[in-house]
Amino acid sequence: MKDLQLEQTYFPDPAADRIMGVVFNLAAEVQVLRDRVQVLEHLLEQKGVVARGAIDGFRGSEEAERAMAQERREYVRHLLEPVLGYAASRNDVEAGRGG
Amino acid sequence: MAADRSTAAFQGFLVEAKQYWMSEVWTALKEDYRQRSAGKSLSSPSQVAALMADSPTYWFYSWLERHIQRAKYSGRYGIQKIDEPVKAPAGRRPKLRDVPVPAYYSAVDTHQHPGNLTGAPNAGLVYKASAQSTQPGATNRYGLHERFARFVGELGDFKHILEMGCGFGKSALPLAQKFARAEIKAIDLSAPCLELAAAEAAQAKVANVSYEQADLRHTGYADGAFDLVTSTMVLHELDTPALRESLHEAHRLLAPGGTLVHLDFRVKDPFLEFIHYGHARRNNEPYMPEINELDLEGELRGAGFRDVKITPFEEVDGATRPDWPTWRFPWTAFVARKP
Repeated sequence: MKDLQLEQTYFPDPAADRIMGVVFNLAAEVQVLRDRVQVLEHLLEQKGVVARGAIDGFRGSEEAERAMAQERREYVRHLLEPVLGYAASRNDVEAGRGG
Repeated sequence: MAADRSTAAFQGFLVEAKQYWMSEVWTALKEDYRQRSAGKSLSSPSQVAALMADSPTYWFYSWLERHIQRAKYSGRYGIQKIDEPVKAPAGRRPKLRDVPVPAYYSAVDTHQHPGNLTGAPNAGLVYKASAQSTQPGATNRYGLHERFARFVGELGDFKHILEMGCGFGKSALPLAQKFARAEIKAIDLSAPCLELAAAEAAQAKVANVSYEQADLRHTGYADGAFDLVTSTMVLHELDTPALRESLHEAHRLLAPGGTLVHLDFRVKDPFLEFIHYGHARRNNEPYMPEINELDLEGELRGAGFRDVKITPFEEVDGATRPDWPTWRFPWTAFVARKP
């Protein structure tokens, strides 16, 4: 963790700032998923490919399962990164005025 | 790479969140302030800061302002990964030089853009993607900059124009289209931004603008070479000494009777100053407060300018009305003339 500055905080308990980050990322990720699911639903409906219930019974190939595991790992890294509390860019050198 | 569907969905979520923040959270914050300040006489942003220090609405307002911007750039779906070849055709490339990056500029990652605009080769593309949602409704689709070009058009017909701190050409391009018979030079410190600006001008088939890498404090152009010097959203990125140098340089570059027009921010209200200075801190723009507090009319006169006019600027119709419902930047036009 070289050269990382602490992120700014706005809540009386700085842990709340980090929890808020997790919640926000989670919410955004849900929107990403909703978007993809909606695209899939439309495509499947258009093409008449998948019967209802087929998703629950799905078992992928080894390669597909590996790719999904990698996706899951990246998702968790992204979701929990705010817990670390580091800034992603270099902060103002001064605390600033007014706010 | 261009943005994939997931990145686009994530960025769409951020724009929605920003719009919610600009309308609902902003309205709640103003109401909270109205109630807290009732019967009190507040004359400075630090008094407002003390009043709002224990406001949960302000905590969330601040957190969201900081983190919507952070998420835009950084992380799995951040625009920082956007990259594609950017190169203007031969003959339209920007003139690049080895211009040292000033210390005031390299001190922070402005706008929370990791590595700043003089960093990675894709910095211009990243900045362009970011600017779309700085103030949704105003900064997307170049609307603000087209309004600025029309505003400048009402001040005169100019033939030799210099745009200082042009970024990726958001203002230079509309100016070049507005002043079709003029020659526009546009300068910036950022080579990646200049590359993108030149490529976009070539793509738009706008031939009367050329881009050069230069420091606005000492541009290298001849005395009196221009009849108009402009900038948009540059002054507040300068520290006070750099701003003073830029005004003297603009004065030197203008022919007698020439016009200076800067579009930037100005706010004179304790609550709005508190908001503006808080924004400065949260968006890594450390010089915003000192530039707002500077007597710019006096500075312009000190640099030799006259007929100084400082007027609020509407990014969309009606935006300067006192009852405007959403958060906005305090856009302000600074116009002056060299005698």
